[in-house]
Amino acid sequence: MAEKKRLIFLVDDEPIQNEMLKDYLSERFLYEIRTFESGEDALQNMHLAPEIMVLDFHLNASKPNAKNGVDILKEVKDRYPDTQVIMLSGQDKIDVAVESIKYGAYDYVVKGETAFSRMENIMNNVSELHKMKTVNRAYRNTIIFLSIGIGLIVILSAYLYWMKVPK
Amino acid sequence: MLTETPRLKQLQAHYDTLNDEQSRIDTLIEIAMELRNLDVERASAMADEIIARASAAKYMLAEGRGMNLKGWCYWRQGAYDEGLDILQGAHGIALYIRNRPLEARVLNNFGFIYRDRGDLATALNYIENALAINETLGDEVTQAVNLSSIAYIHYDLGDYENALGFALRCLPIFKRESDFHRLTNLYYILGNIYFKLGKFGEALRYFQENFSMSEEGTVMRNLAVSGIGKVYYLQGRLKDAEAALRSVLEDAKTLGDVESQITANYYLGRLYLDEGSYRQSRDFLEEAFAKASDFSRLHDVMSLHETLAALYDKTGDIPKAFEHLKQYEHLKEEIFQQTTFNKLRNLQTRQQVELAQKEKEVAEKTAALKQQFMANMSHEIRTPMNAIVGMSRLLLEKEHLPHQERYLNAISQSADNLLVIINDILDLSKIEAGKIIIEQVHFSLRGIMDGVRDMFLLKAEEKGLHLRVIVAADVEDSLIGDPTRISQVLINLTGNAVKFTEKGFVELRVSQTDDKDGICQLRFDVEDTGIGISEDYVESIFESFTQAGTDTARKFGGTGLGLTISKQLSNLMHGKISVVSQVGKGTTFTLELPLKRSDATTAVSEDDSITEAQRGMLKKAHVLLVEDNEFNRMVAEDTLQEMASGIRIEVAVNGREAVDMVRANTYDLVLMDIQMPVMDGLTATKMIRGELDEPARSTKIIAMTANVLREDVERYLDAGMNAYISKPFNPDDLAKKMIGLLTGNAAESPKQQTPEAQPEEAQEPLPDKITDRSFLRTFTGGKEEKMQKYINMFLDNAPRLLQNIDDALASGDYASLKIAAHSLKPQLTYMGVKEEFSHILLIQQTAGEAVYTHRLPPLVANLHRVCDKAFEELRTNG
Repeated sequence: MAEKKRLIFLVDDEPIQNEMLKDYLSERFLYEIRTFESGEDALQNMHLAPEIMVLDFHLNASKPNAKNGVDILKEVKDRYPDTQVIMLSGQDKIDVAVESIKYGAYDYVVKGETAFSRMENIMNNVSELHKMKTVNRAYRNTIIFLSIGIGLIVILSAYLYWMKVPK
Repeated sequence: MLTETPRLKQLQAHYDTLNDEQSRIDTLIEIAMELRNLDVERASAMADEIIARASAAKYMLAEGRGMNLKGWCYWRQGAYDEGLDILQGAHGIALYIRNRPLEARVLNNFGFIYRDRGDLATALNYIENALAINETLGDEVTQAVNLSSIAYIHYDLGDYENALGFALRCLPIFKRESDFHRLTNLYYILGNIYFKLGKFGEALRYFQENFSMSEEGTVMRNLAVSGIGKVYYLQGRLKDAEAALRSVLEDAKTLGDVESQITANYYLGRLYLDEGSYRQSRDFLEEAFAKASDFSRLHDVMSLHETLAALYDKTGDIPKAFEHLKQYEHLKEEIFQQTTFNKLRNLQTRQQVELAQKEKEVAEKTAALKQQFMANMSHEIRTPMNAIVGMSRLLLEKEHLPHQERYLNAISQSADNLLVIINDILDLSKIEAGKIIIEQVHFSLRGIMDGVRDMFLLKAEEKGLHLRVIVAADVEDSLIGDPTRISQVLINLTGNAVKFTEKGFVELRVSQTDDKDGICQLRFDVEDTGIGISEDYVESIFESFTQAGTDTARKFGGTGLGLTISKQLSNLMHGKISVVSQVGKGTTFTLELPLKRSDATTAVSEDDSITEAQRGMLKKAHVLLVEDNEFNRMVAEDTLQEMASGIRIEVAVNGREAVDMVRANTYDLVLMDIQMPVMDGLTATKMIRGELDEPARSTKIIAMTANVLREDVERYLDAGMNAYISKPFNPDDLAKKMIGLLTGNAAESPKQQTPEAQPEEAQEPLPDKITDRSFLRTFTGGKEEKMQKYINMFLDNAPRLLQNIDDALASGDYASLKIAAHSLKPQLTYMGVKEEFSHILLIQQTAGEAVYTHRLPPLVANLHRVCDKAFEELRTNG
């Protein structure tokens, strides 16, 4: 199997937020990090199957027609449920938390000085979860692979057996 | 038949009446469900029959249920692997036929097995999924079953408080459904939780309840007895405990009940360990250990390792003790994995979030109601107070008998005191509701100080106190700020000082500690030689009356709100208030305020005196008085007559009458009450301004109102009124306002009234340095080039957001304004610009409330000022 680099998407229309978080995370994790300034851009790249997406709640400060964080969250959870989404918000409002969790976000973080260390903790948790899932998947693949192998051997031996018997 | 319950008999009878195989299988399931609590073996055999028959009848739901039942029986019998296998099958069927209730049940049973095996994380996972399904299905009973399972897991994790919480939530549901078996189970859990919490009385009560509800010779009964046994053991009733546990052991063996066997062996082992019979103890413990290991009940195995370690420690077999201890630590680690705690935390957070949202809704409603109540109260109280104050004043000025003067003075005094209290309460509620806006106007500091001195001079003389007011020579006199609020604070402090001082002096000193960039730091000291404040009280003296000690308030009177209000007001003015006190010696309150120096050479001082010419003009005036309250009408009429005898007054009792009269006659002035029946003063004013012809249309109107909240006043002025006077009114004020309007130069316009309209004055002092790079420095680990990168991004980006804010403000698009502010906020934080200067959060919130959008322009102007300063600092100091 080809070694695929694990990927994080950062989606925020404020470049500075993206940049700071990217620097912060890349110093601490071995992820490949890509930043997007709109949810639409991020959605177009979802085929890269990011493990984690950090998504800003408000994505339309400069582009009024841009889709909002919650819309993107819904779409991502709908079409790419394996990607864990962490919501970022500028304000500590309970509604934001409720909305986010309701639509399947893994957690939500309030922007500010403490946001970075919180994000790090959450990443650790998500990463743990992902590891378990991956290990599970690997086990499953191994089992399928083995059963195919065994099946082939059985067929082969049966074939050889039947081939030999008439003789 | 071993055991028969009435329900079982009834089901069996029902079964015999059925012909249809499907219904028969359904009933069979019911029977097995009932039976499983009494006799697992038979239930298990029955499950096999159900599976076989359902499969033959191609009745998949029943087959799934049968398999699920079988899984449950395996679980009960401790055959976990078999249980998991068959549950897997049941799960497959549930998914295939898309039967959500069955799926939830199967998941819950999975949870049971994993829990018994000590894999709490997995167990919790399954039960949470089951709970999620049941939540969408809205089935309360099955939700309760899941909740009780979660209670069990909390219990296993040693979080007994939460376990209790979950278990108690299920209790009323099972009781209401009179779900006999589940209730029995729940009592057992509750017994165990209370047992662990050390509440043995409660625990015993639940175990006994459990005992009385269960049938003889059943697993449940046995578990109940084992529960009672362990309570006895910890209560020190060792004989009873031993008897109970031994009986459990016997029954458990015949029943094949693993759980109570392990429990009984374990506690018997501990009991003998305590007694010192080590050999017996070892036999029991090892037996329990073997059973627990056989059935891989990790949790029990862990406890057993611990106890065995203690036993071997006592018998001197140190290597064995050590081995067990090591195993114990290892297992503990495994079971109490952090992940499990994390998951539990998430679950709790989710529930708390929902709860918090509900609470918030309630709180908001309450706040709105409180606001309404305060507004009403303000009006309801001030209206009669107006009559009392006004009439006693009028009486005092008229002829009266000498002895009546005392009464009249008393009435007047009491009414004044009452007004002060009411105003205090209203002030506080206004501050709390954020409705007080600090004005920024030119004023004379010495004028304020004179006012305060005049107010207390008489009182101090009466008590034989020296009242001294000292303003240092270098103190700036012309300042910009809110003179009303500054005097309010000083009056509060001085009033207290006079009140609590019996002899000596009260001294009010003002000095200037700093003068930089046009900002004067003023320090007001109010020193007295009064009773002083004890040390433990000093801390709480600025808190609301509810928290402060009540005895002092009772002795000296007053609401105790004065200091709270003073503190809040000084906070609003960016000031600081503090106190130093010694009991018996005296107290010094210190107020420090930053105030802007006024450029005006002389502060605007109002001309207090009314000239004779002006009074003559008043006397010739023709006035319409609009007031619905009879008493207040009397007060107003008589006051006007006293003030300017010969003044022509006509009266209207509501707005409609007033409009008609203004249409028909020409008045120099209308004094208009606001709240009136038929038509209120605001509507009447709008009609006069909008529908009548000149000159009636521009008749001068003064609002007379008890509602003097700034936003109310703004509404009056917006409606077209020229000025307002608050009730109960001061005759001089009224005269001045009237004269001002009659001479045509003192009309109050919203512009003069609202500080927002004077942005250049509304600005607060900014600190020398508004940005702070300490966060960035920590964040980047001190790397200059990185810091510079972020700063450059901020410098690129923030002006754009500011532009967005400006555009949105100009076009009235408050939603966009809010979003832009929202984006700007964290960036400002990173640059170290504090909210107290940028008010960006306030902007964001204000933009969200349509009522307050008029406050935005000065806030945005301030933001520009702050940002410009920040940009400059960040650019230059790179």
